[in-house]
This record gives sequence, C-alpha cells and structure tokens, in this order.
Amino acid sequence: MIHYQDVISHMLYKLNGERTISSAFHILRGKRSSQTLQDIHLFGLQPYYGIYPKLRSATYHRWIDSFVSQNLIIIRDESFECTGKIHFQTGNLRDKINGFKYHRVDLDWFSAIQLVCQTLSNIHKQNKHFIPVIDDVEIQYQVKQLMKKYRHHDQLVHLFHNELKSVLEQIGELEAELMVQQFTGANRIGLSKKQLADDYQVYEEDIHLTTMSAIHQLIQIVEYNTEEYPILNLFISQKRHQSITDSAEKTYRFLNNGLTLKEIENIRQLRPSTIRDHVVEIATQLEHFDIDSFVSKDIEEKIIRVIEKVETRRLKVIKEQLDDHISYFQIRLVLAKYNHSKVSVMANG
Amino acid sequence: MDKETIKLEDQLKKHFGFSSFREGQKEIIESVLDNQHTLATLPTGSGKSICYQLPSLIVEGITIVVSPLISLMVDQVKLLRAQGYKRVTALNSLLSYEQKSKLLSHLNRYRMIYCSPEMLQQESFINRLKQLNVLQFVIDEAHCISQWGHEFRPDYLRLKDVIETLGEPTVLALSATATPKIQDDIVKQLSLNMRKIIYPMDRVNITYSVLKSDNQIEKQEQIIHLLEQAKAPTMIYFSSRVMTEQLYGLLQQQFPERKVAYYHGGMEQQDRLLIQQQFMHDQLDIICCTSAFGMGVNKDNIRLIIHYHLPTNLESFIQETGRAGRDGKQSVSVLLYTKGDETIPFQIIESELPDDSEIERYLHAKQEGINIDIESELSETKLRFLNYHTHKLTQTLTQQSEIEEELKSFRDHRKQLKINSVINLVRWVNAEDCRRALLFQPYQEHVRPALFDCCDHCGFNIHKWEIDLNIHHDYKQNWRNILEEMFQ
Repeated sequence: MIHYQDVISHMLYKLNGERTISSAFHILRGKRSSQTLQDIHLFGLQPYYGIYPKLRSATYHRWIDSFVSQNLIIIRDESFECTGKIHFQTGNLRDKINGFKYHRVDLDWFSAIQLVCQTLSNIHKQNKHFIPVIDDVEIQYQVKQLMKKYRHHDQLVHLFHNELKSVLEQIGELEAELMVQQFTGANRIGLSKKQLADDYQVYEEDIHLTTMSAIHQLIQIVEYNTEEYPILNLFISQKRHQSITDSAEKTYRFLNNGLTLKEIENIRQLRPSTIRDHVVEIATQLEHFDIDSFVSKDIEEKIIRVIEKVETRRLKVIKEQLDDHISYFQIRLVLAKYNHSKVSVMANG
Repeated sequence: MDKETIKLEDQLKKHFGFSSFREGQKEIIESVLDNQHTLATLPTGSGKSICYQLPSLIVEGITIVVSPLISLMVDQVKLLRAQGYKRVTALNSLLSYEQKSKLLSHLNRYRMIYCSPEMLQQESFINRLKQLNVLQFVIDEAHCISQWGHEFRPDYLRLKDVIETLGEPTVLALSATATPKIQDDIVKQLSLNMRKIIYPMDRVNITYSVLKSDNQIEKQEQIIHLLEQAKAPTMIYFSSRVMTEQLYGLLQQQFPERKVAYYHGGMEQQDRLLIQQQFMHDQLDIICCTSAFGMGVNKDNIRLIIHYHLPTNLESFIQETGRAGRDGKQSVSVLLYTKGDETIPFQIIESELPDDSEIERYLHAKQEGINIDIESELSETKLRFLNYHTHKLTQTLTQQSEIEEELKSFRDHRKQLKINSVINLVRWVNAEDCRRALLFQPYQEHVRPALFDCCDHCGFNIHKWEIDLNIHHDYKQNWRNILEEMFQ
C-alpha cells in the first residue's frame, strides 16, 4: 500500500526551502504551467506529476496542517522548511508510479477497462439492461467501437478475461485485489475508494495512490507487450505526450486550424516572441509535430549539418556558422526535432 | 377488451417488461393519448413516469418533460437508456456551452427531452423547439407551480407562455403531493381546460411510527435497538452531511456483519453512482443519506425508512417514506424526534431565502450594472427568487425603494409559509390521533384503512416489530474469484 504521508513527505523533502508549499499541490494535480513542469524535472518529482488530478485544495491544506502540527515542516513567508523529523518510506516507488509519463492516459484507460468489464460481464450473463458505471460519453463510444470490432462477443469475453487475468498476475497481489474490487460485473457493483479504505483500515488517499500505481504498472506491461494484450492496448490513448502548457496548447489549436503566427498574435494579443516560444515548446513535446511550414527541408539539412559538426546545443555558436537569414527560431525548431530522432535512435539501438 | 386496451398492455410489456398497469397509469395514459390536457396525481412510488414515457413511445413527435431537479432528470435518462431507449436526452445547466449547442443542433434525433424550467426561458432552446414537432408537454412535480406549495419554483409560472408558444401540445401535469387547493391553482396558473385524474395519495402498506427521545445519545440508542430488531433493507434520512457520515461510522462499528454505506450530495459523482447501484443490487443493507438520495431509485423491497432529523415539511416526509414497500409488502416508517429538532429545518429555511442585506446588495448591484459579484455570492435558490420577483416587479414599479419593500414582503410571505409547514410537521409528531389520517387528510376525503398495521396511535408497537430477511453477503475476497464469477 502506498501511504499518502510518504508521498507528501518525499515531495516536501525534495522541494525543501526552494519552493512555496503549494508547489507540491500543483505537481500532484498535474498543473500545466511552465513553472510546475520545470519543477518536476529540477527536483526529480516526475513520478508524482498529475497522480491526483481531483485533489481538493482543502484536503491538501488539511494534510499540510497536520504536517505542521506534527512539527515535520515549518512554513515560512514564501517557502517552507523540513525539520529533521520528516521521514518517508518510498522503497521502489519510482518503478511503480510514473505520473509524468502516464498522467494523460491513466484514468481514461482505467475507466474504459471498467466499462468493458461491466459490458462484457452483462453480455455474458445475457443481461441487456444495465446502467453504465462510467458516464463519460467518449469512453462509452470507444467501448461501443470495441463491440463492433469483435463481432463474436462470446469470444471477446473469453479474450478479455484472459488478458485481464494474465496482466493482473504480474502486479502485486494487494494491487490486483484493490483493482478488481473496484470493477463492476453483471451481479456485482464495484466498491468505491472510500469503501475500500474502510475495509482495509487505511485512508481513501492511500487507496487512490495505490490504484494509480497499479494502473501505471498495468499500462506499462500492456504497452510493452502489444501482441499479448490487444484489447487492453486499444484503450491507451495517444494523447499522452502532450505535456504542453495550456497557453501553448491554445496556440497549437489555432495552428491546427490553419492560422498563421501573425494571426495568432493578433487574436491572442501576445508578443511574437511568446508565440514562437509556444511553437518551440510544441515541437519539443509533440514528436509528430511538423515543422516544415517554418523551416524548409533545405535549411533544416543545413542546420543539422552544423549541429553535428560543432557538437553543441548552444544556439549562438550554431547561428554563427549559418547564413544570416536563418533565424534562431528555425534553429530551435530543428534542435527540438533533432532531439526526438536522437532519442528514438537510442531507444531502438 | 377492445383493441386499444390490448395494444397498450402489449406496449407496456414490450418497452418496460411489466404485464399489467398499476393503479391509475392506464387511465392517465389513455387521457393523454386522447389529446386531453390532464392533471394527474398518483402516490409516490407508483410509477408516475410511465404515464408519459409510454405515450411518448407510441405517439410520433417530441415529448418535453419539465423537471425541477437535475439529479432526477439525469437518473431518469440513465434508466431509460439502460432499458434500451436511446432517443432520450436532458438539457440542463450542468452542460457546457459547447455540449449544449451540439445537443441543440441534434435535437431532432430525440423523442423525449428532459429539461429544467430555466432552460425553457432560453430563446435559443425555444426557437429550436418551435421548429420541431412537440406533441406532448409534461410538467413533473407540477405542485412547483403553486405559491401554496412547499417547493414553489417561480420559473414554473412561465410555463404557460411556453406552452402557448409551442402551439399548445397536450399537457400532462403530474404530482404526488398536491392538495385540492394546489390542484386548482395548477389549473388556474396554466389556464388550460384540464381533465383531473386524482388518485389517493395514501400508502396502505406503510405503517407510521414516531419515537421520541430526550437527547441525541438516546436517539442513537433507539436507532441501534431498532436495527437489531429489523434486519431488512433500510434507509436512514439525515438533514446534514456530517451527521450522515457520523452515524454511518457508528452503525458500521455496531453492525460489522451488515453492509452499511452513506450517500450525500458532497460525494463525487462516480461514488454516488456506485453506492446507488449497490443499494439497488441488494449489496447494501443500510444506507445513511440526505434527501439527495432516492431520486429515481427503483428499489422494491425497502422495508424500513428512518428519519433521524425532521424533514422541512410534510410533503417531503410523505415523499421520502413513500420509497418504502413499492412491492406492496408491509413496510415501516419511523421518525425520531428530540425536542428542539425543529431548529434544523428552521435554519435550512433561513438559508434558502435572502436576508435584508442580501436583497439590498442585490438591488444595488443590479442598478449599478455589476451583477457578477453578488450573483456568485448568493445560493442558487436565493438567486432564483430574487431574479424572478425583481423581473416581475420592475414591470409595474419604478421606485427602487418600493421594489425593495415588495421583495422583502414576498420573502416574509414565503418564509412564513415554510415555517408553518415545519410547525405542521411538529404538530403531527405530537398529535395523539391516527397518524395516517392526519398525514393524508389534506389530500383526500377518505383515508383508506391500513393493509397491515396502521400507526403507533392505532395499536402498533415498534418495539415489538421484528423482521429478519436473513440477508447473507457472500463476498468473494480473492480477485481471481471475482473475475471468475463475472465471466464464467
């Protein structure tokens, strides 16, 4: 079981004295601001990013108050400090939870699996009428698509059951137990986290975090074994890499609608440099983002040649080696894309 | 039996799986299918919704269902969809602007459209409806239209104009708590020629009982004692979320072998859905809840309804106790009362209506054209009250001070009405005559005799009432077994 006190203690220990008390809150909620995204890399808190998207401010402050009253931390004006009493047991938590990688997909995947489970169990017991435990229409649509894809529902029930059983065998017994207790079938409605917390005599927060960790482990197994888990794989959404700031995302949407940078500047009333920063951020985060409309193939090749020659990422050095008409903006875009290809080469090698 | 009769029963079987109608349903449906504007009362738990759901499946064209409670609406839509009826939707304030405009443009896909009365004030919605073929107009909880009612909703008064605008579709006004005075008021406010179909409100299979105590500790002892005797599906109503959770904790400790859960409006939507479904599937024995629970709950075998606190009026009490015994078997209502308990409903009433300073600040903000701050500060019910009456008053009055005076006097009038309602309930608690007779006399001339025990004043002794439905929970504890059971 993951205990929330351990997670909070670990986070505060890492952020000690450097940030305000609310930065851990923003990390847990997965706030998409450049400050928070920077913080998680700077302090090595990627696992915790966005693992508690529905965390309420009141709840967080209740935790913090109890930390203060136990003399584990001291709140300063702009910051806070850990006392020597702060302690935590995180063990191999890093292998078990990966918020930064999965925060965009985890809960949707879990919801989809829950709904598939409920749907197939009802089909199996020949019960046509049931109230779906997942209200999200998009997820309901995905599940309907699955039903259409596999015409033979008996076979689908069998396949799904086997996939689920097999993947759950690979995580901890407690984690599998907590997971399945939340599932709804034809004759059994799943338990809420609060009910599980009462059954196991732990906090609801602990159940939430342990469930998130179980989800992350399952997704990881499923996505590395696509052939073994075709059904479970269907619901891992492709939006995961979009860890861009909200402001950049707005710009991205305008770009997708065919607007030029100039037009976006006017609509959003932002400086040209800000919009360019957004485009670089998008190119850095989204592997599939096409930079062709900003950099011609010809210029791109020239820039890459210089990058490989000078073996540096320092913009000024690269710029000096190139024709004057090639901008910093173009160099940054090519660098972003070049980094992606490097990473994928490494992954394949 | 004529042709028509056979057909209606077939349709009922086909769409809802029932082989016969319950009392009143058929008469109401026939009246509506005959294109008669109809005002109908049926007791709670008698299947009011089938009275318009079935006609909407038979008649071509669209049925509008006006419902005052969003949660009720959402539940109804879910239930219908689960039954395989997909052409139903709900328009309410929970939808985002995008969702709403998408829904409006696809409105022709639906046959039944639930909406809140406020939605019908939006021009975009009305204009869209005008293009469509609206043939049935259902007003659920129609007593909301009357100022004499306990739940007066100003927006209901505007329904008359909406009906006119839509070319007068067949109107069906339904209520489970309308006294003759309110029935007349409904007809008057709608100014339609309506056929009245009035069925008795009393529930012959429910036994009424009150248990008094001197303090909260004694009250809790009573509840524990009661639950020791009664092992059957039970609902316990509370006025506050905090107490709901507290008693849940106590009962869980006291009855480890039984499944207890709690439910209130402060919980996440997902958890609310799970708890509600668990209760319907007999996975829970006892549910501690606020009035937020039970909207659209179709559970037949609830045997015991306990009120830990006083509801705010008799109508709510009748509605909440009416969730018991829908299968017609004996069920018991127990209201727990400690002297002074009425302060809670008084506080609730106080919080529902704007006070003097809120009225003044509201008017001031309106005059200055800065509504936003004050609007976010006031609760939905207060704002609804202020918006409606101010709008009405400004049509005849120009003086700000006059409007203010009038608003305050309206407010006092509503408050007095609500306070009287609580006083009536306390009187009922303390009265020594037959509880059943007192409870239903305002609604009907003759209160029917009880089918089982009547009430604690007619010889029923709650301490001697025992029931053991022997609920056995066979929970598979290992995840492999749970999955096995789901798919084997």
